[in-house]
Amino acid sequence: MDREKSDKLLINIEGRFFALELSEIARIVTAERVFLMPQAAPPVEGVIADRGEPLVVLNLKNLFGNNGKAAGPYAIIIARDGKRVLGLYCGAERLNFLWKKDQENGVFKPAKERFTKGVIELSGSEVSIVDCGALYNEASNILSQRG
Amino acid sequence: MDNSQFKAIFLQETYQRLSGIEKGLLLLEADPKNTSAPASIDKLFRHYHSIKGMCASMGYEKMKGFAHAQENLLDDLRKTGKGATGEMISVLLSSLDVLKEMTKRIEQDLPLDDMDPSSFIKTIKDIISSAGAGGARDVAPSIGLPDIMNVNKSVFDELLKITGDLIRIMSGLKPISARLKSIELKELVYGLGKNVERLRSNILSARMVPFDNLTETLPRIVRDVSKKDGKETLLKIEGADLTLDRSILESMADPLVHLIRNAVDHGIETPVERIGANKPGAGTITLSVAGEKDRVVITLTDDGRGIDCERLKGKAREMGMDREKLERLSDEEALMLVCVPGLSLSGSITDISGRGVGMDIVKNAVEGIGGTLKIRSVPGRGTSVFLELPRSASIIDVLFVRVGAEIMGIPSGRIEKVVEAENAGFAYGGKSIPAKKLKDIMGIAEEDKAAPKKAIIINAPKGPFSLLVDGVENEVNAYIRPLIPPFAKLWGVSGFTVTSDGRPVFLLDVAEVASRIF
Repeated sequence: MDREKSDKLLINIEGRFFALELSEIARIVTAERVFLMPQAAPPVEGVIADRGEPLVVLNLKNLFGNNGKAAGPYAIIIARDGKRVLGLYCGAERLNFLWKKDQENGVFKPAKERFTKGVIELSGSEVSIVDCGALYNEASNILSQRG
Repeated sequence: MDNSQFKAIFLQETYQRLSGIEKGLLLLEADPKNTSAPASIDKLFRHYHSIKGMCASMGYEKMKGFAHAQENLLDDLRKTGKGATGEMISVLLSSLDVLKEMTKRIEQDLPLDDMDPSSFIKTIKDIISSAGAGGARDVAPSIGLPDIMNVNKSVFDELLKITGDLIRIMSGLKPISARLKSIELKELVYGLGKNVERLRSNILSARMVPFDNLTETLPRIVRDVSKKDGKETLLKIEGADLTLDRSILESMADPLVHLIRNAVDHGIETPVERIGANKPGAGTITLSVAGEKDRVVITLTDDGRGIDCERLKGKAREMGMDREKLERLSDEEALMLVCVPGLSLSGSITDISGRGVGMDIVKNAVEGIGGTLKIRSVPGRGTSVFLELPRSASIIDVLFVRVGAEIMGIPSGRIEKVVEAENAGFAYGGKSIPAKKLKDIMGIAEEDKAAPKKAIIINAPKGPFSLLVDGVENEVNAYIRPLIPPFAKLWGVSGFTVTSDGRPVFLLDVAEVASRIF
């Protein structure tokens, strides 16, 4: 369970906590706007160019919250699942860290919802761990629809 | 002795020689007495001789010995003047496959130890001794530098990417230079632009390779599949000197092999069936390549049994496809059912043994590079498959159009003209043509309710149509990159480019959009 207790980035979406493995985060960039991705449907927000390469951006607020409206400037977390890269937008919420030592008394439980791979119970609060691979597959499915 | 520095030259030369051997053996098979091309046995002999010499220089003893045995057989044929027998050709073709495999292993730095050509060598020796002995002299090995440099294709890919980036930077520099009043800067930008253009043109032409690079192995495939099925098939190749971008050609390799095998395996009938149908005993497959502006059309036609549309529809119904929709399909549309994964006529139309490539994969490969696939077939008369492809997928002229707050690119080569939107319906020689908002086609939310201002008239194979957009931006020479996961299968677009200000812009797939209009 060492992987479960690795350092994480903590995101608050409408009062609920989600975490991304720090090892799966390449960097966080700011974009003035997210551009059109033809045929895209929520939670695909659009596309940005990151270091000259196109990057599909998913709106986590669409996925895990009720308010999916996005507004710039956009702080975008660039998440990696192996060689697969995805941009994640989570609104203007402040980002925090959940260090390994903070998780020592946490209880790890199986995932309760889609696109997560587990839950950590910490002092009465629940933190869902985001499954970047599942998010990537979802983006791929949406963008493979035939128009 | 370390010969690794010569390995690339060895591989390049050997592959060329092996390809020459294949062509020569097939010619010899068609004309065993070698009357039409008396020099062809000499040519074949020289190919084996060169391979043997190069192997000796490089220390590939096993391959050298094997090439030597085959050279002996050719030498024997040359000296005795006896015609080549079917057995000889078969053993030489099988041996050629082993030589190819050995070369591939050398390329991959794999040992040749577990390859044992002794049974082939024995057969060759038996043939020679039964036909009257001969033997090649041992000749001093030689190796030389060819005029053509062997450069890994990744170098050209990288050069193209760099040129694409330079073009993007240039398009950002030009407006800045136009704004500033410095003559010096203007001259520098002009000079830079001219040289970037020269670079682009040279790299694109270096990437263009003749179509016949892809066709060299096809006669052998036709021969092998025909023999296996007890058929006789002639392969005609026309227009193979036309050049295409290497990446386009590469992506057509597997689809083409599949189509050819399909045509022989399932299209061409046996000689008995053909004669019974008042056709010549040998079937003919014609592969023709023709260029049209920036597109190329590859047509593969066979004079075989054709495809029965009604049977196809029947199979589709069995698969659970909507009966009414199937009834409404035209013949041309029904033929495209062969591209539905898993749909085959008694395992014969989309199944190609051992390759794992179906017509759906062929269609995907063609569409993946911005091409289109069409099929025409007349039962009893044969089938034609048309692949329309871009000639160069890399750097093309693109018109940027505005759709709401977004920008999309349309390949300039596909645009007939741009007119005011209000005239769109009658812009094509006074005739009414279909018009549709690009916004609606691409699923872009309509925030701005204002009517579209411009109409882009596009001439598609099924007829002209117009795309209504909110404005026309500029026309640029853009480096188009292929779609990549997770948007590799994005509908309606065939690639993307990144503009000088860092905006990703998608390139419209005109053929796919046209299919939605008509």
